[in-house]
Amino acid sequence: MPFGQWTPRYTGFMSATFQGSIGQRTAPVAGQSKTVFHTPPQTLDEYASFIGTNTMPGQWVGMNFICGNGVITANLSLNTWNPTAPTTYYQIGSQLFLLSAYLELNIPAIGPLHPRLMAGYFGPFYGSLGEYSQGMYTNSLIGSPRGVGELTVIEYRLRPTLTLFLEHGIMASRNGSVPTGVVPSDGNGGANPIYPASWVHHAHLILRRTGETEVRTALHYLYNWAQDDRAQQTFDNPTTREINEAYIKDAHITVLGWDATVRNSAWGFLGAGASYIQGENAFPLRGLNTFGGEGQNLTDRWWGPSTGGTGKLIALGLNYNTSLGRMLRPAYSTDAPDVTIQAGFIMAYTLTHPSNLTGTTDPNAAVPDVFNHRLRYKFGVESVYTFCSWMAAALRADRVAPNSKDAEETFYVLAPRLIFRTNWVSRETISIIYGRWFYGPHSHGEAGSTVSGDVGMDNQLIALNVNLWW
Amino acid sequence: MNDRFNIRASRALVILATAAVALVRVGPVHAQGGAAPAPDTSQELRFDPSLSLDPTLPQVAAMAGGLTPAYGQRSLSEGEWRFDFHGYIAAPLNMGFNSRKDPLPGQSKTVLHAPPVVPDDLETFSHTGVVPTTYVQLNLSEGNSIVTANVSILAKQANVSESFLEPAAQMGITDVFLSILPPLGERVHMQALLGAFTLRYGATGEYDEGRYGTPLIARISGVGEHVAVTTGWKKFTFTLEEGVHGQTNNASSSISPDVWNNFADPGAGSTFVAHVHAGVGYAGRVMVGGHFLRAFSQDDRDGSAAPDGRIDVYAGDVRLNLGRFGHFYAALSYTDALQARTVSRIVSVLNTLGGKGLMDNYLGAQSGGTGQLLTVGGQYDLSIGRLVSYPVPFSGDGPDLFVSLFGMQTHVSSTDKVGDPQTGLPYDNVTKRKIGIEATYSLLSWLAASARYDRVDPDVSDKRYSFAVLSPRLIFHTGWQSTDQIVLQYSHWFNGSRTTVRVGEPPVEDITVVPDGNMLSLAARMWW
Repeated sequence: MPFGQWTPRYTGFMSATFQGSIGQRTAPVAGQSKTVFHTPPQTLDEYASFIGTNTMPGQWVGMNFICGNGVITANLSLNTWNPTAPTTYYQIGSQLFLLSAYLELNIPAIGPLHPRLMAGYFGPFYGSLGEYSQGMYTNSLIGSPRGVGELTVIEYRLRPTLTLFLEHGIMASRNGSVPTGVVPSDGNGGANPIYPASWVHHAHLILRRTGETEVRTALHYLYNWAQDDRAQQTFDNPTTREINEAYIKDAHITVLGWDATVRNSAWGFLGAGASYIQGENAFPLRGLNTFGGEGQNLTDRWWGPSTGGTGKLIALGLNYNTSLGRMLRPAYSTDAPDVTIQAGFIMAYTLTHPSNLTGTTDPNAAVPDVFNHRLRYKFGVESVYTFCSWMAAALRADRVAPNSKDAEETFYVLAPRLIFRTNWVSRETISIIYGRWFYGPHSHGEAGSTVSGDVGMDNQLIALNVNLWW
Repeated sequence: MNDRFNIRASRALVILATAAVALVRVGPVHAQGGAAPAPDTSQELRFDPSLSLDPTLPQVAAMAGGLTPAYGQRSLSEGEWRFDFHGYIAAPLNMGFNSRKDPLPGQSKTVLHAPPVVPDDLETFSHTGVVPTTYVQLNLSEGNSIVTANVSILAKQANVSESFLEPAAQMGITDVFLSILPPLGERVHMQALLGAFTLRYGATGEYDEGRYGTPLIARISGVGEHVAVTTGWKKFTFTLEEGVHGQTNNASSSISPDVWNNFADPGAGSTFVAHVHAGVGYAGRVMVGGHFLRAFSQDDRDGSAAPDGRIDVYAGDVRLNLGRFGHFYAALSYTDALQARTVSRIVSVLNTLGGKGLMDNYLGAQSGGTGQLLTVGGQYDLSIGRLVSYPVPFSGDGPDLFVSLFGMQTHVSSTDKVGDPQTGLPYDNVTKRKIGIEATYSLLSWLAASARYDRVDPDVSDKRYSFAVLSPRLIFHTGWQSTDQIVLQYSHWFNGSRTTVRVGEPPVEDITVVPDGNMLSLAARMWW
């Protein structure tokens, strides 16, 4: 974008999917078929959950409107994860409308120093292991602060091929505190007055070496906390085991992380990372999406409801993708058949404080040793064979072991795909996907799962996904 | 100034006089058409008219005065990526007039209602489209000559003018789809739509949903695919279309129907729609189509005792582009519903929402969603200016008289023998009919006068439910062919003794409510 000239730009991405899972009715009566079809699919593949494998492509639209010059730009984005045309009822929160609104200030370089500033509503991601995405699996390994605030980046060129980046940001959670008297419901997106105004402070040190093989490594520190007296209520709600509403403690989440990526034009792209997440009374915290989610998901899915959000989570991840065409033929042209391979591995271990029930009035609260010293891992591999300019065939396989304490929760997913596009290198893909889940006897959805407990899980999925970016 | 006015006035009188003569002289289409030199289409396929409306067209009734929006220009090469932004806005101020039965001190006898309390609910057969409604659609696309990404943003309520929050009226990002036009040569034309979009079959207008804003066959929303292939032989074209649609969410049993969720229906199951269409066209003038669609649900989450439901629609239609003799469309549609209560609202027959909507408006609550609708309808549009100026092409930069005739009839057979307990209207063996005429005279480049008359018989055998609407209008615009209009409209309803309106949320028929007899409206519309 040239200096001094104001230019509007429009970029974006869309992904729309026709998808349904196939199951069997347990006891059909007259007028009912044995085979049933479910949308949204009733398979164990929930977005942002550890048991999710990205086999179901889902919906997402992001429209980015940018206006500015070479120094400053205004950025707006309109987003949804559920466009209205295919819905059968209005799902509050699925239309995100103006998701991001921020200014980006690109200060001209001062010698080897190049400062940049972002301010407004936005959400950076840290710990993405893929070359242009999160990798095989959805969650960022380090975390993503979301809200309103600032991010300052100072770029310092140590040598022509070696650059140091310092990043620092402060953010407030997007909505602040919910006023007392609001009753959480589907109509207000579950807004709960016990959620305090929360804040995120984060800093990052990044070193990047450019060249034929580009290497980037980074250290991360993120701290999410709240100290808000308005969240405390008069009485405890005994149905929420995670928190004593009459005695709400200050909440904290600390994330320490490391990640590194290596990019080579022949050998492909390797990403690796690790994060250490420590929470204290973190259940009501909002604003920092860690590898395990925000405070509520960390509590319900990782440390157990009775911990109130106090525990530790260690996560490790690895992601590798390569092109056999590039690897085997130095003068490879992208306008030719190719086999690409992507592999990913994620492991997570939790340590909790199951006896930390002081103050709760819930008589049913129990020590949740199902979460303490629990190891979870998943790995998968995907291969895409592009044999002509408009068609490719792909196969993806995943193994998910959500509980080291119960091997019968482990399950597998196999997903062949046919991919169509308008040219060897195109901006769009059209995929026909079949997914088959092989569940263990004890496989189940995580807390808050949308998989209906009444009808059980489906083990087959058919999907038609289209996506395009511009 | 006076000379210009006199020229326009005399030109207008000539058009009016000639129009009367021309209307008498208009004989069979082929007789008149035979005098005109037929376009040479032996080497070039004529793809219009089509079997369905383009998904990017607004989901609204025709605008006053026979005006039709024309939208964006595609990129011409594979290498050129082009951004396009077009849309439509309609913002009406509507004021219904009625009388208070027993005013108390401090209360006026005359009461003013917004929105007007008149029988014009979109889902009912009584809907005429006379009452303008708020509608905004923004279409953004990015693509080349082969593939285009389309995103549309919709709202049926503007927040600045509402008195309470209706989240579902702000539909947000509604359509998201790819349009693919593979280069298959000059004799084969193929278009594939993939993603989330809405298709409409049975649209009576040439480029819109017609005067009633009601597709006579069906409206199919959802996410899925649609492929249309057209080829030709001499002057004939042959079109085949197929599509499969599904939905992305489903109301769970824990959701209570309410205004904020657009009355989510936990009783509806996951629904899929499969549809096929075939058409034969001739010389770009005639298109005869056959249609079949099946919407079905096999879902065990909608209540263990609920049977599988389906809605089948069989239809045929004919569309005639008659050149100076105007545009004609007619359709015959047969809807067969079987235990359709569980069919969701991604399919819409006569603007009703799914199987439950069909029950609420046509089949009755006691039918279980089983019944049949036989619908016939059509619309004829004629520009007298174009007719009388022949063989000189009519540019539109002058006075014109535009006439539109329209009507539809639906016969309902239902297993509900009880009828509507609120209104007393029967569900079974009832025939519903409505007809209308609209004439618009473009007097000046900035002014047109229009009048529309509608008559509606919710039950042709019981005139107590019938009503008529007379709507004179003044239409202001910035040029003969401008893309804007400001419409000042007065409407008067001639209501029967049992004419009913819908009130409340969700809207239900209430025989005790006296409808407004008059309405004033000031509506601004523009498209680009």
